[in-house]
Amino acid sequence: MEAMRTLQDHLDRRVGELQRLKKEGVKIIGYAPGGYMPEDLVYAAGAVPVGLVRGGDHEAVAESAAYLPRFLDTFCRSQIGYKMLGEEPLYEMVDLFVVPVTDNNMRAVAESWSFYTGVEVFRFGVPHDKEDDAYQYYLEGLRMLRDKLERFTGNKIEDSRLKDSIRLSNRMWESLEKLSLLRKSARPPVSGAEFARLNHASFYADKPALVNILESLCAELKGKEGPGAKSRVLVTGSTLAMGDYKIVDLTEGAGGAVVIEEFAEGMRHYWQRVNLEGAVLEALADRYFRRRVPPAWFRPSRERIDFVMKLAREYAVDGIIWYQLMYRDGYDIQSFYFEKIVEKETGLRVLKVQSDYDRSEIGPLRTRLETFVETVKGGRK
Amino acid sequence: MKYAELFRLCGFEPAEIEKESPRIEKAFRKFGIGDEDIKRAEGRIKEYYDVELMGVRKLLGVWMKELIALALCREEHRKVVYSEWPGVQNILLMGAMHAAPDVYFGTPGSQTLNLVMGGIFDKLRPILEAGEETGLPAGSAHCALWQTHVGAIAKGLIPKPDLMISAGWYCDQPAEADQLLHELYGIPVVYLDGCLDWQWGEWPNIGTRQIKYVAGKWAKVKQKVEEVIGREIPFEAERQGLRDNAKLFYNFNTLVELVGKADPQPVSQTVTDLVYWMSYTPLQNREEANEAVTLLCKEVKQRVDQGKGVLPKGAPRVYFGLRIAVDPGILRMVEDVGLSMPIIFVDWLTPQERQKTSSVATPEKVMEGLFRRGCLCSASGAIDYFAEYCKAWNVDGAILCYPYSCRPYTIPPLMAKKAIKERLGIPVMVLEGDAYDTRQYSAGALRTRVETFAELLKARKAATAA
Repeated sequence: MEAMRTLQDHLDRRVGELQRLKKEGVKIIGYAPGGYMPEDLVYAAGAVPVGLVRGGDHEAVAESAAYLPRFLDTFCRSQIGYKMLGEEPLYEMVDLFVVPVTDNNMRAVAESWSFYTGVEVFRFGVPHDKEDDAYQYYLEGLRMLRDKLERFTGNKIEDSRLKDSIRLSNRMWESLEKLSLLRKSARPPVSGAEFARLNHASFYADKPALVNILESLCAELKGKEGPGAKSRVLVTGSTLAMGDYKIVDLTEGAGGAVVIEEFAEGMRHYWQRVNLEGAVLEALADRYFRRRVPPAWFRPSRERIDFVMKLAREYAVDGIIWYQLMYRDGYDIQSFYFEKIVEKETGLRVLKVQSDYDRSEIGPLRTRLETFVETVKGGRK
Repeated sequence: MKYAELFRLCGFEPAEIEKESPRIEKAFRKFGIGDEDIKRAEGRIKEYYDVELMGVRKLLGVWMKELIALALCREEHRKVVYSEWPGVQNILLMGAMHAAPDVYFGTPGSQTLNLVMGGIFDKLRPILEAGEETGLPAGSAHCALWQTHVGAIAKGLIPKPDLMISAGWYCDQPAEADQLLHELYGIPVVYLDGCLDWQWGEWPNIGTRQIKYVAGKWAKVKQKVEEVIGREIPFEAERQGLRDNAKLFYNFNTLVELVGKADPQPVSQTVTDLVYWMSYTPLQNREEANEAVTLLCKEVKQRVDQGKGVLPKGAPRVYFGLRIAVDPGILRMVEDVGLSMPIIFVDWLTPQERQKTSSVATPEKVMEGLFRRGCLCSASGAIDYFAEYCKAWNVDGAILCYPYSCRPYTIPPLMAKKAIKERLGIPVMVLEGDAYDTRQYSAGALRTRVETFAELLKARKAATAA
């Protein structure tokens, strides 16, 4: 695919480009990739956002043990690990780290960066329900973030610039959604592995360039078909990080097709657009908080479960893989009743898989996924 | 069942034992407590608690009565409402108790089952295992308090309540576990939510945003409780609940200061355990609890005046960072290796907490007071808070023991170790343990580490003296 090659060329140059921008005085704003951080505020402040979304490496997990106890979510522990290893350029160039505090695992990321690194961290809270006071709290957090970014960059965030950036984000989400919808086909032209890598690229690629590439890709793939698969799988869970491709690669390597995903962190959410009529910050809060499909720690929990079942039906999947990271308590607890509800209401089988980014997991995981791909063919029990 | 001696150790008079025997037997049957368990409990009480002191016996008695009341709550009350720790919302329930005495309000897992079934009977394992089988599996670092809460309901040991109040303002597990129970059994839940998004270094000058948010949820919780119990909780009842909690808390603080300021340490800290877990708890026998604490304070004062202690005078002093609800043996072990603990966990009110709150309304007042406790706000708050404890109580070292499965509590210890060593120049040890499940640590392994640390402190103290 030509567009994919263009994207790869762009990504190959991107770190150098970011380093050049930083040298020129542009602020690089890192953020935790839980889907609650409107990057548009960063662009509108004349800075560049970078989602810190790396995961999957045991080295970072091992490194984190000197700074945080191990009984926290693996991805979250990795975030202090990557920073302290000092080997990841995107983590090294961050001037300000913005952490939407979603739960205590994510709070640990903010706290450890504050204590152990020289990087300033800005936090704002994400409440756990969607009542009006919760929405107002999140909105207030966005106002604080806007003020912080203005002070930090010395640039005023003008509504016109913010709206321009949002328009571009709307185009990006639209393209990602179009690409995703292509996977409803019996022979999806884009694999789960390709889609995950594309999605991850969106966390640090230059947005105008990325949008052009995504739009070209949509045009290129229209009407095309890919190879068939033994079975169609939905993958859902806490975090699918950039570099943590084992679950997708092993599933597809076993002859399955990952046709749709739903994750709290790591995968950009693309189902909603920002409505640009009315006040802009409110519109952002509406899109990022009120209309966003919530993670497992929200209550009531049915919105997320219903959404995953809706995806499963629409994408005609044969089975669901629940992929969670070690010690992400919210996901572990929800998995218990998720499986019961899904099996009762859809008849689909759920395979629960857990990872601590440990190499030794791969062998047994391959066996389990191969079995799952073979046995769920035909879907419902 | 031969339980007379057990209840005598728990401060019951023979006539009271006789009068209560039908309830005792019913409760023991419900919890599967037999003669062997009773014998074990007697042994543990004699081993861990200073039953020479009548105040201690009376406190144990209050806890036994809490267990009986929990076992019979459905048959003795019109409605049942549960709420666990972290328990600030229990102040509201203490108020509700005045408005609706025919409703049972309780903290089954965090206090009654942990303290009595765990600490006294050492019979928590089957309940924990039931929690593990019901969505909070072993090996995933789920909070054992919530395994007990879920397990007790799943096993039918305690009745399914008419309402659960879930605290989501500090840790995530309460709401996650109660959401699980809601999905499995349809039990109604109302959440006291919050967001711990204070900036680094913001504590102690905390803003009001987070306080107001939780306070707003408080109003919704109150409304839901009123709806379920079918009674209004008048302002005066709410205030009375606040006063009830404050009274016990200040009695507790008198005890804490008596024990902490004395040298030698006059009683084991296991004794203060019995009172600590009563704070923020809707007790069924509150007045008896207050009387027992007052009596205990008198008895401890006598010991202090006589210069009597459970450790040699001049023993190295440590701050110990945890209370272990289900295992008094750990505090005893620290004392056995020769370390005095003038202050532990979050017992003392720091100067920040003693400041008058700027809020007027009850929920804001309560939450502001609570968030003045640095360890409940942020890691930077926790570091300052632990350092304040060490400095104010002039300790020779600190053991930052933390419950391994408590996400918020696991964040600061390694940072605090570094910071306290740098700021105060005292040795600090981080000790991984658990507050609610003895299966999660080896008491022997903990002892080995604490013994070594004690030797280090003793040597340092001797060197300084020389």
